[in-house]
Amino acid sequence: MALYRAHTPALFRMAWRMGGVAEHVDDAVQETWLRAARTLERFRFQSALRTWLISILVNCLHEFRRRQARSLNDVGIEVDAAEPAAPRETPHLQIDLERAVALLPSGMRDVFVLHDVEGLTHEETAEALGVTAGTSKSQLFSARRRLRATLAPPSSARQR
Amino acid sequence: MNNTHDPVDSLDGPIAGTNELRNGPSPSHELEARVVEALRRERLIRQSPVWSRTMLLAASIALFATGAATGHLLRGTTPAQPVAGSRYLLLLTGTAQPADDPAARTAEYAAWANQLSRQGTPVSGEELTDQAESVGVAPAERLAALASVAGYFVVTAANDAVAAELARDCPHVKYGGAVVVRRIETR
Repeated sequence: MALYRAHTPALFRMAWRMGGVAEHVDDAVQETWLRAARTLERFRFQSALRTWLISILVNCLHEFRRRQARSLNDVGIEVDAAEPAAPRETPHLQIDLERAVALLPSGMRDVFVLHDVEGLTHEETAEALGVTAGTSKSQLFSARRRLRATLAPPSSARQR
Repeated sequence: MNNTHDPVDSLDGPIAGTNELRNGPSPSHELEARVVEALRRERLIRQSPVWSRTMLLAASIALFATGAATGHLLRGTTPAQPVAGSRYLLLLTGTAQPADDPAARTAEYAAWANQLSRQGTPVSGEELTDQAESVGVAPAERLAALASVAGYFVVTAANDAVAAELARDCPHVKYGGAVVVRRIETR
C-alpha cells in the first residue's frame, strides 16, 4: 500500500480539480488503482510511474464526463462536457482562481492543472493527456489568458 | 521542469496564486478501504493476515501516522485548528463483536477518526496483532486483559472529560468493546 499512499493524495487532488463532479472523484481514484493493478505487468518503466498513473486517471475522468453528459442528455438536458458554462453574462465579476479554473473548458483545465498546479512538464502533461507537447503549450496559453480575463478586476476590464 | 525557454511561459507566465491550488482536499480513509476491498475482490492483492486485521482498524487509521510521515505528500490537507490539551491513549479492548462486513467496519472506524481529525483533534492509531508475549511478573488476569487489547488511538483532548467523551463515541464501544482512556504523562 506504500504506492497507494504515496500517489493517491496527488491523484485525488488532480481528480478533484479536473473532474468537476465531486462524486466522481473517489470513483475515478478507485478505478485508477484497479486499472493500474490490472495492467501493472504491462508497465515498462518507459515513463514515470506518476505520469502513467495520471494518464489512467485522466482516462477514467474522461469516461465519467462522457457518461455524465450522456445521462444528462438522456433526460433532455443539453450538455457539452468539454465546454462548461462560464459566467459570460457577468464578465466583470471578480471570482477567485479556484472557481475560474473550474470554469475552464476541460482541455484547458486539464493542462493547467497538470502543468501549472501539479508541476508536470509539457512533455509529461502531453503524455498523460495523450496529446502533443505543442497542444499542451497552446492549451496552457489559452487557459492562462482566459483565467486572467476572468480574474481581471472590473476596473481593468472596463479599461480594455 | 525547465520553462526558461518555454515560449508560452515567456509570453504569458503562471497565474499568481496558482500554487495555492495545491491545497486541495485529501483522500478520505474510507477511500483507501474501498480501494483495498475492490482490489481484493478482483484478487489483485492478496488478503494477507495483516491486511485482514487492517480491515478491523489499522489500514485507514494508521494513515494518520502515515500522513505525518509523508507530510510533503499531503500538502492538500487542510486540518482544522488543532485542539490544545493533553494527549490520551485510548486502548481498545474487551470483546467487540466480529464484523460481518469488515470493510464496512473499517469505514466506520475510519469515519470516526476522520471526523475527529477534521474537527482538529490529532489522531493516530495502530492495530495490534493477536500475538502477545509477556515477561516479568503480573497477575494472570491482568496480563490476559492486556493481551486482549486490539489496538489503540492517541488523541489530543482538552481534558479528561473530553477524552472520555471522545472514547464513548468510538465505534469500538458500540460493538461491545471497551475503550480505556489513559492520559499520557508529560514531564
